Amino acid sequence: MTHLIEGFNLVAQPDVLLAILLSAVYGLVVGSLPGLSATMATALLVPFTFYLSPIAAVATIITASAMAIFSGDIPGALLRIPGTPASAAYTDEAYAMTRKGQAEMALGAGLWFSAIGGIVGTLSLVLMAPLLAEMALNFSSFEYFWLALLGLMCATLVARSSPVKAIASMLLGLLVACIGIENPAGTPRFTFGLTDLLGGIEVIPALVGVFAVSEVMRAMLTPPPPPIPKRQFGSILAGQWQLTKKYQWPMWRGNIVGIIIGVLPGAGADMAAWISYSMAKRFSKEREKFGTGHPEGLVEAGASNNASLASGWVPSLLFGIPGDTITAIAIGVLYMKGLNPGPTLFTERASSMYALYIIFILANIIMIPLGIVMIRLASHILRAPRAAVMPVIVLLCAVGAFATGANLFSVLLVAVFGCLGFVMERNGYPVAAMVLGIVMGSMLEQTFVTSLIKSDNSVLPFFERPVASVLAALTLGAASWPLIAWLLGRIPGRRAAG
Amino acid sequence: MRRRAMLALGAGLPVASVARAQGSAAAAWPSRPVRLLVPFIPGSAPDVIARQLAERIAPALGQPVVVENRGGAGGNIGFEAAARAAPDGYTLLLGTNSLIINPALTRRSLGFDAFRDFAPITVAFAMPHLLIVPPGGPDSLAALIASLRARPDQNYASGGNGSGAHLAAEMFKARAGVQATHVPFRGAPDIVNNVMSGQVQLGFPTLATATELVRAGRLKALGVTSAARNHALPNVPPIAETLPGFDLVSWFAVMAPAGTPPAVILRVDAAVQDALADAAFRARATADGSTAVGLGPDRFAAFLRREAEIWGEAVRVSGATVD
Repeated sequence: MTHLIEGFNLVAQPDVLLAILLSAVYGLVVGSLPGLSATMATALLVPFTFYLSPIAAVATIITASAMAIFSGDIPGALLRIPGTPASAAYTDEAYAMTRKGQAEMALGAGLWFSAIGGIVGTLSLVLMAPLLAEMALNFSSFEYFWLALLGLMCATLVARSSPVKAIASMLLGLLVACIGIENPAGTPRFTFGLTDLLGGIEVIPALVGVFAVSEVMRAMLTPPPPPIPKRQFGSILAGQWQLTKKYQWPMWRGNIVGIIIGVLPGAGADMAAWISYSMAKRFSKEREKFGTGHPEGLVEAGASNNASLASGWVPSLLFGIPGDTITAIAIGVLYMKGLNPGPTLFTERASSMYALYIIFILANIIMIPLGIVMIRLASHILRAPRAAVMPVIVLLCAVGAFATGANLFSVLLVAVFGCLGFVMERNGYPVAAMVLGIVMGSMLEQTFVTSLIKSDNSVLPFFERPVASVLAALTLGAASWPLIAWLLGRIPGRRAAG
Repeated sequence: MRRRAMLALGAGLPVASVARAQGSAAAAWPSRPVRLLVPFIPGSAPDVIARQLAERIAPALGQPVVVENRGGAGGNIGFEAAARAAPDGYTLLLGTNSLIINPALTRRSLGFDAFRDFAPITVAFAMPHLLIVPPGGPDSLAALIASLRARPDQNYASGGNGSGAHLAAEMFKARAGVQATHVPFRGAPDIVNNVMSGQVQLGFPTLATATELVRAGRLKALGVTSAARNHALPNVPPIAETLPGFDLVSWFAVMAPAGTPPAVILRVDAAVQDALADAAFRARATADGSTAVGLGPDRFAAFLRREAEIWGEAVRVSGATVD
């Protein structure tokens, strides 16, 4: 208890509170610029942390990254430029809501459920960090393999097209993931002798290309749609409370799945968002509404996304093992400030740990008012004429891609993937499934090969280990379910007998 | 050592003005921000070091030092960009041992040559690797070697083919005359994760990633790869005590494109040395177990040749290639 009070005292310093406020505004603005990822926002903050006290330094990283991840949803919903691979899972849904004139509703859902996910994720960190960390340690490459495969199965679920076309898109994504030298064998594949291809295809340029550039190309071919009805929404939050009541179960499911996936250093927010969106659709009573601008998937995936971000700090703080690039930067800052991550941080520096927990909660609370202001400002872009907005989108895509690697090749990639995405969507192939393939492909291959090396080429451990066997049963069950359902339906008289 | 002590004494003196007197080229330099190319992604260990250095040396140079990340292809993209940059003093490079390792890994010619294309300035920091085993693993290096001789089917973890952890392990295998199978993971943190849970029997992560876990008893450290003990884990003996001559460290250096004016090089070196002599800065930058080196341009070239031999041998014994 004394630790908790000390923690409050550490946070209640004027410099810490000011650092939280400023980094919140900074995170919101940078995150909402298409192509500037939350990782970039965090990396740019590092030099400023030198001048801050240890708690204020970590507070800026925590606050700015949480804000940037939420505001990355803004260009996704308004312009169909997803800010992160995680928000790509529900970009189409949010954009569909925008086209129905519900942009503020879509963004409000993102904001509200992100904040709830963040707070629930933090509570899991406070209450169960050591337990979760031990659980994460028991996850080996065998379990990650099944998890990646399960993630890939979501391809047929997230898309509104035929399953065959969804699988074809996903396989194309896997092919893209093969490019480069960063595979277990260290062999260059499909690089055509180009140095730029050696590093593989970055997810962000591919993502921006297939979603945003293809959207601009489509807009060039169609006459301008009737202007979006001007509607006053009053309070952005009022609608959210109804959503919370209506979709309570998906929200909690999203939180829990997010926490579990978040603590696994190999998985993270991307996988949490995809799996949660698919689960929302799979278990929904109104499955046919998904993809047409239905908030249920946003609720579950938004909560899951942010819950996983908070619980992702568990392995980082407890073992110094980063779950993603943001926590990797945070670990660097922790070292610099003498708060070396490790098991002793929880015992010897307990008051500092409580201070970090309080900052997490605080960041997610102030996200709501600041986020509302940001949404109000950003939604003005919808009132601008299309002919003025589209060129700006292309410009932002190019600038954002350039910023990820300070490399012209990324800009070229955006263009190539834009054309690819345009052709695919014209023919009914869902681009989201391809992005899923790119995101999961290298993890699937990596975990499969390292597992085989560890087991001396035996496939038995893939099924022997307890967690692996459960995941295997889930994956194989999900894969064969359509077939089983079809077979059951064909057994004559089954209905009558049952 | 004496030189650094003198710089420490003179830390209060305007180092810049001393250097400015050395040549007219330096008088005008720098008139605009200097960029420091980092061939790795934001948040990586070289990136964190670069950002600390950039912030610390900027006042001495009188212009901002802007870190620019050019990640990808194991650093090759950034190295190539630095090699091609104009040698006008406005491009600096954060070089690492990848500069030496990457060309050794391939028969193809890369877009740069470590000796021909770069002017060495200062080796700022070095970081040893740590030989780790699970908490229930062997108690000493000798016991580990005996265990590997008895059971050559054990595995070691690395952060990928050609990574420092991979080459250090292969070097260890060759010197100790033992066998173990390489499990290449996606990144260095996976080494710690897999060894801690006992799924892989040993690994050579950089010291920083394992220090706290060793202190907490979650990992057992059997040796450091540097010739001397490390201040972060003073109880862990160097591997060289068992296998004489074993000395591998990852290093982080400031370099420039070849042809950069000597006056510029001297001034950047002075600024970096000054930073390293600042006790507060050094304490902050070496909190993770890295050591301040401060090897200036005069001795850097010889250091680079020796490093090329050491890592070249490691690549040879590992049989790692990327062709």
